[in-house]
Amino acid sequence: MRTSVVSRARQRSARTGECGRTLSVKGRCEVTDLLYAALLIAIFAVLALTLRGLEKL
Amino acid sequence: MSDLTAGLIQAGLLLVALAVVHKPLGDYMARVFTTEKHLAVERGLYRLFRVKPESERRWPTYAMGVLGFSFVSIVLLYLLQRLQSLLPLNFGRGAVDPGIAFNTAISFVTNTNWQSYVPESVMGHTVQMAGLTVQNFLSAAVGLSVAIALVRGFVRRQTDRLGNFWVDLTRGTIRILLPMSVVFAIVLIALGVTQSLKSGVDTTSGTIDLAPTASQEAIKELGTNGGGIFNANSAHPFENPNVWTNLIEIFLLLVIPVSLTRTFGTMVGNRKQGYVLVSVMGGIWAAMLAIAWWAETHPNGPAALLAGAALEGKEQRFGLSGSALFATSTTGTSTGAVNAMHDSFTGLGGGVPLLNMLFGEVTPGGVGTGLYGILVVAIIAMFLAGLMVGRTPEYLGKKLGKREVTAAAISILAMPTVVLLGAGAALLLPDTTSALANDGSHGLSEVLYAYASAGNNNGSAFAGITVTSNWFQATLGIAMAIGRFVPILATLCLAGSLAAQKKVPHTAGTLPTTGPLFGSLLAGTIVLVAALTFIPALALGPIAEALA
Repeated sequence: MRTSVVSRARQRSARTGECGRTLSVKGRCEVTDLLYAALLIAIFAVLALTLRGLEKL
Repeated sequence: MSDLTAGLIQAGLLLVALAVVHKPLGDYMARVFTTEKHLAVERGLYRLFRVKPESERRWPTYAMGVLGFSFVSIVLLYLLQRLQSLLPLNFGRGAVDPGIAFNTAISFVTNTNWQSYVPESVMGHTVQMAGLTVQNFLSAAVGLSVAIALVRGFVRRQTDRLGNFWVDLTRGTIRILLPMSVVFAIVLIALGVTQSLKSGVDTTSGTIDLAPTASQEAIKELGTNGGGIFNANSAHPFENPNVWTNLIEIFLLLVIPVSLTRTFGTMVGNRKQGYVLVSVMGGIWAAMLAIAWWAETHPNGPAALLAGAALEGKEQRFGLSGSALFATSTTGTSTGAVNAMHDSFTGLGGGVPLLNMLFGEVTPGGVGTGLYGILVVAIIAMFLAGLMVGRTPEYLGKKLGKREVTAAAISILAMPTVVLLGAGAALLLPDTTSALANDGSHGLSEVLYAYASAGNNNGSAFAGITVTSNWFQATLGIAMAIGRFVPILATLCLAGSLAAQKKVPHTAGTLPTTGPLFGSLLAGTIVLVAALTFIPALALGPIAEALA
């Protein structure tokens, strides 16, 4: 039942590098970039709040 | 020679090598972090980045340094991947997909090195060398710095100063990780590991990928990083060509975490304190190795029974023993490199790497993370002992009050929170079943393993699970960041609180922390915390599979 991890991963890798192939895909990637940037900022905002909370212990 | 004999010889050689290096390396690391002298190259870096090396900081400032440095590192690594098409030595590889770039940036900066991509297909040499390998050094040095800050918390009295994060980061990188990596990269090249800036070589059966492997391989293991330059990781013959490189790689991933216990003992002025920690780490590591080894030689599947052992997914160059030894060591530390497919291990054998991570990776743990992880558990253990005998708990002459125990509890509970919430949420999603290669208990183990690996900053994959969807890229990224930085913040808070105290004199009523009683208490606490948190999940996954 278990498939080859390497071959499965190679199939998945075909999906990478999609950004920039066409204008619509490029635009979608820019939106995704912004969403991931927002997520990263949110994560570090939570961490900064954690630091603030720990200071008040 | 039988596999059992070969395995025993390898384990024996490994233990001898670690025992020989433990003392000089541990003492050297203690000198690195206590000397007041700066190297010329360090002074140059301090001038360049406007760091005042003599200026020591309070714990919140130290923590802000860790967070700020990591945030900038993630952003730079993300941009490097997204702009790969403009970089030299990309050999036609384009911009990395945003989801992969996000996940990989957090992964390498948090010392996890979880890889949701095929390195040889996705990453060019410039991203590998200037991005991923650089973070292999820096993320390990961050862990070292936090561990040393906690040790200073025990050593110092009535001060609010923990040290300078930038000085600790620079010294850890330049004086410990870089020189050792250079030496062992040369050793690995001599033993057959490849090192090339070419993209590959053409053969009659196709192109074989090449990469600057050895220079990455040494720090990959030494820094307990684990991210392979090839998809097959240390099962690839260019990364790990023979039994000697296999043994050296296992040695490298254990050597700094083990030696740091000596550093700890030296810095607190009582080396027996370090011996107790390394005994507990070693005892649990040996027990887990014995279970994995036994399970892989006593499989319960018909194919494996016919073969006489569980050989699926294992490199015949290393055999069962070499695979069990590597799997136990890579998950007892925060390395996550693999020389066999953990997904193909037996139910019980696969449960060992999973449980190793769920112990909080303190056997012996990652570079720095192992030491501060086990010291936090030691504080919980002393708190429990104090409750039992009705005394105010203390450890190494510092009283453990509400603030210290709360910080320790936050540090310990961050990982189970992200692992259980993440795995639980993923299992609720209808799309998750289509991402799994197996159903039933093994499928549950695949999901649990992924979040355990991310939350503990291990990075090894049970595989079998496809994690390229935005859900997995984002949530595993969150798990890696929270699993890394919340314990670091809580540990630094703990260090600051301890440093502010005066030293309590040792009395007849003080519980000794250098003997077998404390060692047993510490080991029991490690097992108890993991058991109380994860037994239901483990029962549905590897335990159910082992009993099937």
